[in-house]
Amino acid sequence: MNPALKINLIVHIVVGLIAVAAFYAVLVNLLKSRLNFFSLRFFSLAGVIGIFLSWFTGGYYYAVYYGQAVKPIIKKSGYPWIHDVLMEAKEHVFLFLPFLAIVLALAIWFLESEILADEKLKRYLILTAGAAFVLGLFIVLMGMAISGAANIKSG
Amino acid sequence: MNKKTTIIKAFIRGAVAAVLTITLLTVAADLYGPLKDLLKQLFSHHWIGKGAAAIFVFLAVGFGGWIFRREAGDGSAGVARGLKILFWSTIFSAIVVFGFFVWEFLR
Repeated sequence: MNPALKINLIVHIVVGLIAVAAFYAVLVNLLKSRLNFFSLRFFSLAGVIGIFLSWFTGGYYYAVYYGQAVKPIIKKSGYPWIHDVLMEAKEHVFLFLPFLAIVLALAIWFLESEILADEKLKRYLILTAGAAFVLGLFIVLMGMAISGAANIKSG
Repeated sequence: MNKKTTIIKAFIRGAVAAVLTITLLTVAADLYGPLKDLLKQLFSHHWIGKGAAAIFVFLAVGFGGWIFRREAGDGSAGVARGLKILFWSTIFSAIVVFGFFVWEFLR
């Protein structure tokens, strides 16, 4: 892997983690009885920016390098299911997150008075933030398993 | 009519449509090779094609709902209902995608 691709992969991981942490921060902030909209707006925007940057950098790595160099190693290893199940599920479930992040941010940025007045709206925002965080966390764990499988065979 | 809630509801519908499009394309392209080949031909990689299709559907449904919005909106209750549908669509789709690849691996 050339240095530019290494940097690209590191950026993908770091901004992806920032996005998952931002979804968690939105979730925790929404669970508070007194909502801090400055903090909610900041973290919801961080979630959108982080997940889109992670999408583009991860997509570049996946399309240019993973299929040719990493996938064959994992497929020939004793753990082909790590690609066939974990990687396949990870790359497709990941695609849900940018859309969850956008609607979460849109609601938080533009519906402050409605969120304060409507408990039901707040409850479903909590569920949406929770879904983004939990799916993001699973994607991080699957990414760790994929890196682990590739490193066992190539290390 | 609360214009903001109507517009945001349109984009929530767009997100639901995008999530379902990704799920449908994921399963369909793996079961029907020509669809995967078509996505590869059009976008250089089938995964890029699925992402592009999801963005297109999200924007089309979101802006379509914004432009052709009805006069009678249901305010924050409609946004809450939209988020409820988005939440369950996402959970259902994640289970379908994961279950599909487990099934493909085992068969």
